Amino acid sequence: MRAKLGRTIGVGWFAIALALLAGGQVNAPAADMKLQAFLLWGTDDSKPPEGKDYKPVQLDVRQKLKDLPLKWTNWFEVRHKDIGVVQGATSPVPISEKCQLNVTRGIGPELEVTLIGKGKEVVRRKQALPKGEMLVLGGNAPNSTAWLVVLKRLE
Amino acid sequence: MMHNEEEAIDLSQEAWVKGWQRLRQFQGESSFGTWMTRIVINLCLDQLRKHKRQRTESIEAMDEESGGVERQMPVVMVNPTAGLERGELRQRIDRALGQLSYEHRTVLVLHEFEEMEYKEIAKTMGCSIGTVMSRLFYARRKLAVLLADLKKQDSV
Amino acid sequence: MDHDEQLKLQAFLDGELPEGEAREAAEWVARDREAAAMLEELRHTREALAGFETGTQLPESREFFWSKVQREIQRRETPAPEPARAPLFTVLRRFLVPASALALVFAATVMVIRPAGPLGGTAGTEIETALSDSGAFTYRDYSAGTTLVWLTYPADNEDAESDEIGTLE
Repeated sequence: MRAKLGRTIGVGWFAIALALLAGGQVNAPAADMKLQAFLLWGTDDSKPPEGKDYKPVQLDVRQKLKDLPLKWTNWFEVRHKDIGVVQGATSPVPISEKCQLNVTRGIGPELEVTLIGKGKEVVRRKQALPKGEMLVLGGNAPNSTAWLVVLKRLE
Repeated sequence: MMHNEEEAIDLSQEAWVKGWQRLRQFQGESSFGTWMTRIVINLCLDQLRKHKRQRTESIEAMDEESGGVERQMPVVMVNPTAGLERGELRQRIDRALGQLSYEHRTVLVLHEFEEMEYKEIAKTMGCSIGTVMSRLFYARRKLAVLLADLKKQDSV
Repeated sequence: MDHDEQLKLQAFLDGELPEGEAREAAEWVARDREAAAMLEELRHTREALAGFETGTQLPESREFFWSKVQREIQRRETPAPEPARAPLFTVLRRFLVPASALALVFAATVMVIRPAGPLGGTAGTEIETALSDSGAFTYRDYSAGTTLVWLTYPADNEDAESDEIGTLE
């Protein structure tokens, strides 16, 4: 009796597993991929220059920046935009007066990110960006400071 | 010395880390730059020895120690680098240096670029002054022949 | 010319001979054409190497180079974290329902939910194209899930006109 019950339970689990596998390749509908883009300014000074309304950087972003081999002690948020990108489409994200980020969504977590400065393509990066991960583009700025463009995929 | 950019960068960074860790040992007997250079050189030599253990010695490499090979190389009469622009000369020298064994390249680098005397090189490489002199002579002769060959190839 | 004589010529060129021997070597070179030719070759090689290393540029920016050094120093000076305790799974193993059936269901569920990649479920490719003269290089922190692409555009030096992005406005 006990053995028969055990076998039934086992078959039951197996059936559920098979049903799920058969349904297998049905993916969730292609919803918007939610991203956040930040323009950050890096410096060893404790505060931004006079007259600049820069904000503190989000904690999770700040913590991830700490793990990168970047020497600047403080980061400030210059601008922040929330983006939704649909599969196969390109979203232009103005970063500054002269700078723009084009984000094109591929299949699944794949993105192609192009940084455009003064109308010229500066760099193009193609990679997967799973939930919670960040792509950081950066370079030096005057007076030993730095700029970062951070693209974060939201959970 | 390494003839590999990536390795050279890694070793130079490692040297700075080691310099930081050993800062208390720096007594000011030499300049700080000289002290750091020694650290870098030693790291490079350690790494090169590791590479060497993975390679087999060529007959040529063994023969040159006894001064046999370079005697057979004819003297290069014409200056093989005359009339070359800086960039082109740098490229040729780089190619030629890449064809030397690590011992010969190291001796050449330490003498020509670090301006170390024979006895300093001997101490750094852990070999005799005679070996340093032989290796340096072989390296120079080999380089002259390689540069002359490159000049011939390019003019064809 | 034997090997010792060749080495003596070299030592003469390098200023490694004592004064008396150096004078003898100079006289020998003046009267012996073979010695003079050999010395000339050695001199050409030495001149070719002079200045070879000047103007060599690092592929990384100075800041990036020093950042890595600083990070490595900090890593070595930070005490190692305590080893993780045994995973919960090991502890709870004896409490799991028929393990094979449950594992099969779990695997099936994961396969269904995970979106298919561009090549039927394999990891996406990473391609980076540096355009213009940006000279980009990449650093990847796998544990934090962060990719850094560092550009040498605009120029490194403080005087450079870096207003393309640097003004940040």
